[in-house]
Amino acid sequence: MDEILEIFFQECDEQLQELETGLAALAADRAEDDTVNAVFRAVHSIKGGAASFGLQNLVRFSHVYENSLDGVRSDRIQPTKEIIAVFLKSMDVLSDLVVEARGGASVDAQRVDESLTELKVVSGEAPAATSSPAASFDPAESEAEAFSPVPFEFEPVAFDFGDDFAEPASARKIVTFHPHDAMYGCGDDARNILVALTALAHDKGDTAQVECLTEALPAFHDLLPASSYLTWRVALPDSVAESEIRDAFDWVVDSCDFTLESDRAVTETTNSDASDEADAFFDAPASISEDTIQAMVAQSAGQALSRGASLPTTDRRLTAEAFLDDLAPPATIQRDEEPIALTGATVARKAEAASIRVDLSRVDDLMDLVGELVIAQAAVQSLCQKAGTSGHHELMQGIEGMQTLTRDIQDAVMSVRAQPVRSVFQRMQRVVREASSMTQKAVKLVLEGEDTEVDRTLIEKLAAPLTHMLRNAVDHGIEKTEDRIAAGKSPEGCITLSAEHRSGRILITIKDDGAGVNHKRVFETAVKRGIIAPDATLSEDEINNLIFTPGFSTASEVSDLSGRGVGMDVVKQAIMSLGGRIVISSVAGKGSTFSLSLPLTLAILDGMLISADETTMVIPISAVSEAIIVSQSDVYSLPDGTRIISKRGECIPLLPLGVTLGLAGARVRDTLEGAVVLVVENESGSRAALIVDEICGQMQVVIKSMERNYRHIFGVSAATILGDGSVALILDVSALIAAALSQTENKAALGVSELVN
Amino acid sequence: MPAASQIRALIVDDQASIRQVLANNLAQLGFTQVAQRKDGKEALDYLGQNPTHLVISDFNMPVMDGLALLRAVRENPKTQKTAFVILTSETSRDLVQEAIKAGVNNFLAKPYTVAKLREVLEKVFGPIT
Repeated sequence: MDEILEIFFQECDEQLQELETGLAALAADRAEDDTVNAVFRAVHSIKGGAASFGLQNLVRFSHVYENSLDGVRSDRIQPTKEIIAVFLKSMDVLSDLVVEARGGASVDAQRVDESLTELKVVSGEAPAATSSPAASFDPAESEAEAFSPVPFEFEPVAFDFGDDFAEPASARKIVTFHPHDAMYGCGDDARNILVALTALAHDKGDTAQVECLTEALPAFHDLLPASSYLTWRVALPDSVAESEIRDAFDWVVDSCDFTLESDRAVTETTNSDASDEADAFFDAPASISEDTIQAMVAQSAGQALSRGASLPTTDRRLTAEAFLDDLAPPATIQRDEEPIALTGATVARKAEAASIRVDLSRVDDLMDLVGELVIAQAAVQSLCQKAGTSGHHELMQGIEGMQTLTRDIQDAVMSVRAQPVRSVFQRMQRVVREASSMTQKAVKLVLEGEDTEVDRTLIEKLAAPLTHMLRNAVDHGIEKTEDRIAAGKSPEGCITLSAEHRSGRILITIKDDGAGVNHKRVFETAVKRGIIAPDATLSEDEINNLIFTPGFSTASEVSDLSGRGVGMDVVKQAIMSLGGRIVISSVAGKGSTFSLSLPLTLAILDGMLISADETTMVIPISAVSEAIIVSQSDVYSLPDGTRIISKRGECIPLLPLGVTLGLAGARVRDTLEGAVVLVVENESGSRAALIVDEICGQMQVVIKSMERNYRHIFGVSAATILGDGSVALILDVSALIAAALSQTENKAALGVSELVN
Repeated sequence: MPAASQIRALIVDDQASIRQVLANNLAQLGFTQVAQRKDGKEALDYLGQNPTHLVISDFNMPVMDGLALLRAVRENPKTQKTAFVILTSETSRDLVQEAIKAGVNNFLAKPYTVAKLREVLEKVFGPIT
C-alpha cells in the first residue's frame, strides 16, 4: 500500500504541475479550450485519490477548490485576475497540504481556512455569512448527498458467460492446408505459408485466424518423426482474393493439400458445446508465445507432442486455448519486423511499456555501473596497447566496437536520467509570487526554454540556488513600484528565467529589468565591510563580482526575504560545486543578468589527456578550441613579464600549466619554440593558452568529486581514475582562464621572471 | 452467477495509484483477469482486441473521458453488452444522468470500500463467487 501511496504522491506532483501550467496559461490569457478542463481535472484527481487513501485534509480542501474551478469550467464564473490569484494561492496551499500528507511540515490551519473561504467566495458557495464553513464541511456527507438521491435502480446484467463475445459473423474464406511429408522433405516450412496468409489479411487491415488441427496426431509410440500429421485451418477476410491465396501456395502446390472454401462464417468452426466454449474462453491465455506456434508447426511431431502432452489425450485441438476459438482473442499473426509477431497481448504489452516508473536509485546504480564500465573499457584498451597488439586488427576492431557500444550505453542511460528543467522552473513561479507579495512589488516571471533537458541530479540541485537568486532579483533587483513609475518603466517588474544548451553545457540566465547593480553602493559597502581597500580601483566587472564575496549584502534595509545573512556567495559556491560558473552583467537602470553555466551531467566528461611536468591531467574537451605547436616568433612578452601568443591576429595569454598549478619541480621554460599549447575557451569567449608537455589522448572519464574526497584546489574541478588505475586531475578551465586574464590585466606576474624577445 | 475469476475486467483511470488500488481490491474479490488502461482511447483500443465483461472507468480523464468511452462502448456491437461501472467522485448530477442515459450499469463512488465494490458489482452480475 505504501508503494501505491508513493505513486499517488508522485501523481499529485504531476497534477500540481499541470495545475500550475494551466493557471499560468489562464493568467497570461493564452488558455486553450482544454486548459480549464485540465486544471479542473488536476484538482479533481488529487481529490479522488486522496479520498481513496483517506487523506481527509486533502479531500476537504480539494473538494472546495474543485467546486470553485467547476464554476469556471461551466462558465458560471469569469476567471478574472483576482480569481486566478485566489486559485494560485490555493494551489500553493494545496501543494503544501500534499507535502503535509506525505509526512512533511504541517500546514497552518488558518492559512487553509483563509484559502477555503476565498474559494467559497469565488464559487458563491458561502459568503462570509455562514459560520466557519470550512469546519462544518464533511466530505463524506457531501459524497453521500451527491449519490444516494439519484433515483435509479439498475437491472443486473444478464450475462451468459458462454456466448458473449462471438464476433458478428462475417464472411470469411477458409483455407485448409495439410503439408505432405515431402514438403518438409524439401525443406519448406509450413510457417512461411501461414505467415504469408496472415500477411494477406493484414494487408486488408484485418486479421487472420489460424487454427491447428491435431486430430491426425497419433499416440506417441505410433508417431513417425518424419511424417506430417498437422493440418491448419486459416480464416481470412473475404476481401482477400482467391488468386492471392493461391499465390501463397505457389511453391508448395505439389507437396501439400489445400482447399479453399468461401462464404463460411467463422462461428461455424466453434464447438457446439456451450460449456466447452466457456472453458475455452476463460482458459484462454492472454497471449500465445511465438514458440507455441513454432511448436505447432514443428516438423517433428515429437516436439509438438511434448507441448500437447499435458492436454487430455482426446483429439481435441492441441491447445484449445491457443488456437482460435472465435471466443478467445484472435491469435493473429502479423507481419512486422519480426517474422511472427502476435497481436493482442503483444500490442497491449507495448502500450503498457510506453512509460514506466523506476526508482531513481536504480537509475543511479545503472549510471555508476556504466561509469565503471567506461573505466574498465579504457583499462582493456590501454592494456592491449601495452601488450603490443596493434598488429591484431581483429582485436583492435573488437575494442573499438566495444568503445562505441560503451558510449551508446552511456548516452542511453544519460537520456533516461535527462529531464526537462520545467519541473524546477515552474516551482520558481511560486517563489516569485511569494517574494513579490512579501515585498509588495508587482513582478512577473517569464520562463523560457523549459524543455531543455539536463541530468536530473543537476535539476534537483538547481532548485536552491535558483530560489535564492530569484528572491534576490525580486528583493534587490526590481525597484519599488513608485520608483519604476518614476523611471518611466512599466509598474510590473519582469524577471526572465531561461535555459538553453550551449557548447555541451546548459546555460541558465536570470534577467531582471530592475535598476541594475548600483556600483557606487556596492563599492561603498565592500569598503565598509573591509572587503576592499577604500582606494582600490576596480573595473565595473570587478565591482559586480563583489556581490559574490562572502558576507556581502547590499540591501540597506535587511528584508524578510533575502536578508538572512545568506548571500550570493553561497549561491556561487553551490553553482561551483556543481562544476558551474556564474557571471553577472549589469546595466544601470536597465537591469542585471546572471548567467549560470553548468555541465549537463555530473557523472561523465569527455576529456583530453595531457601531461605537464610529468603529471597527467585531464582537460574537458568542450573547453579546448585548438592545439598549437608554438613558433617562437608568435610569442611576445609584455613589459611585466607575462607572455602572450599571437594567433591569427588575436593575442592569447600564455599560461605555463605546471607553474600555475604549483606542481612540484615545475619551472618556466626559457624558450617556447616547439612547445605544445592548448587554447582553451570559457563560455564568455575568453581564452587562454596552456603550455603543456604532451597531448596523450582523448577519453571519457568518470568524474569523482574533489571536494567530497579531499578539498577544493585552485584550477582543479575534479579527479578521475584512468584506465591504468592511476588518478588524474580534471582541470577547471574557467579558473585557469581567469588566472591568465588577471595575470595580464592586473599585472600580476605568476612567477614569470624572464623576458622573452 | 459468475465466478470472479471468470470475469475479465478492465480498469480505466488516468491515475496509476487509483488503478492499482482498484486492481488490488478486485484481486481480493477473486478477480484474476484484470487489465488497466489510462484513458478512454487506450481502453477502446484494448476492448477492440480483448473481449471483456466489465469495465470500471473513471469519469474525468484526459484524451477521452469516461462518458465518451461509455458511449463508444455502447455503440460498438462487439462491446455493447460489456458491463460498465463508473468510478467517480464527480458530484455533478448532470453527468450522472448523462451516464445513465448512455447506459451505465452502475456507479462506484470514491471513496469506496471493498464491501461496497462487491455490492456494486453484484448488482451488475448477480452474486459473485
